[in-house]
Amino acid sequence: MNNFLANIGKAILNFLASTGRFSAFCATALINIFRRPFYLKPILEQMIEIGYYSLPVVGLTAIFTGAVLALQSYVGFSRFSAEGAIANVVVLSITRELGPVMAALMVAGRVGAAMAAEIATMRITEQIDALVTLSTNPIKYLVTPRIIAAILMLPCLVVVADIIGVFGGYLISVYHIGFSKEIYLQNSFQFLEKMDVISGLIKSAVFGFIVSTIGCYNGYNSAKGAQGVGKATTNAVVIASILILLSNYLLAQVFFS
Amino acid sequence: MTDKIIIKGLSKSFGSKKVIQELDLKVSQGESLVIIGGSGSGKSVLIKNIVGILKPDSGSILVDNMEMTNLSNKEYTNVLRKFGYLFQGSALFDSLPIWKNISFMPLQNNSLNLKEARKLAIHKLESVGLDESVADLYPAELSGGMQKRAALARAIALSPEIIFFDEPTTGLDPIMSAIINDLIKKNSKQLGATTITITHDLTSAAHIADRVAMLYEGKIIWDGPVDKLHSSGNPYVEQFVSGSVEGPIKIKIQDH
Repeated sequence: MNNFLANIGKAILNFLASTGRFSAFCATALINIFRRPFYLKPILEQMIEIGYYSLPVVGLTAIFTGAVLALQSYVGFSRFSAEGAIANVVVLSITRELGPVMAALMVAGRVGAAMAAEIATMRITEQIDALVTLSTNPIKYLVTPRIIAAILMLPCLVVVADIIGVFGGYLISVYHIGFSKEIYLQNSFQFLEKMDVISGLIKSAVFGFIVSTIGCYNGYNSAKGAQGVGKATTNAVVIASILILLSNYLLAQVFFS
Repeated sequence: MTDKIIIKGLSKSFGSKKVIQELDLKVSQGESLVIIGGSGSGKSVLIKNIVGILKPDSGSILVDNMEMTNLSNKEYTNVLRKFGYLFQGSALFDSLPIWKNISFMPLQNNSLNLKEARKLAIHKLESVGLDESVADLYPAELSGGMQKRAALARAIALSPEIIFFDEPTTGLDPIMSAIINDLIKKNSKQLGATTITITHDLTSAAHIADRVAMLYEGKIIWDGPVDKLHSSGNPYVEQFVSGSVEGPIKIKIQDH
């Protein structure tokens, strides 16, 4: 019994300690946004890496999500003759929830993992130590640009995901189910409010922060060896995905209650 | 001779494992000190504490009579310009071409423009026996020996006063080791730099060192001029130098 309690206590202490370390890490990275020298080139490189190269995967995810949403809504809604609401359901689900969350999860898998693996490899090959000896703050040089780029680029990706997602729903509704083009589009935008889209964009900026900080933190504190890098990458994706879903719920409470 | 580096009562532990214990060490201006010791004896930890990559638990490190353990960020950045560091695995940044690696610091703090930085890099490449053709390659395209030389060029790029060499010849063939030893010696002399080299390669030690110190269980247990290394009268040093299994140094085989 004592042993059992000791283990619980140990787990809680460990959790608190790593939360503290993570907070300190984020604080250092964020403070450095405002400190000279500014590393503009790494920010641009990361923006291209996160924004541009994630477009195919985010686009594909969005189009199939929108398509399946329209298909399933049709199956369900036709049972009580509410097919007219399909367009509305698709556009609201995509802009409020599925666009931001799907894009963020895909970026967590693609970009968060890459950040963790790259920084972890730099850690175990002493490249991070080398940065220190060359009087460059490694958090400022490696982490801060990634956080800035992720916070800026995720909302851009979500705008694209929203458009492609709605288009996916449109394709199925018009060409498979047989809606008229005009009526479907009219239904889509008739009840759409600015806040539906904006809330999704704000959420996605938060998701960008989560993906980049979790990815960098796990890489930065990687254990030695190939196993260390592997574990850092896995943790980065798993923890970021869970935090995305958790914070998505909390933010939805804040925005729509 | 004046003391460039004075270390007093330095201790560092990782968890419950005490790696450095109450260590004292002095290095004179312009001297080449080689620290020998077995794998895992804390040699790297020691020099990483001096440079400030690791923070000591207690003790004092004076460099040019300036206390290193409680510097502000700005003071620390300035002190770092005195240091050059050659890492064991070279630690070149693999996202940058060789010349940008060598001129990394002047490019980051904008003290040189691109053209000057490239010129500096090529000049430094020449002083380690590489030519311009290497400048635009990426670290992964070079052999181990060439990477080591490029890393040496980066370590000496801004003519540091103090240079640390972490296992400079580990993993290289005997001829390449001899070339690296020569380059280390030549460049340190040219710069008039104080150097601390970590190694367990005794040929390298004999070649580079003015003075040798042996680290064992977190303490310096012997130090003396390099020509006394083989007649130290210290049983630990004698065992290490002769490479015999029998002696006071016990390797815990079950730990590995």
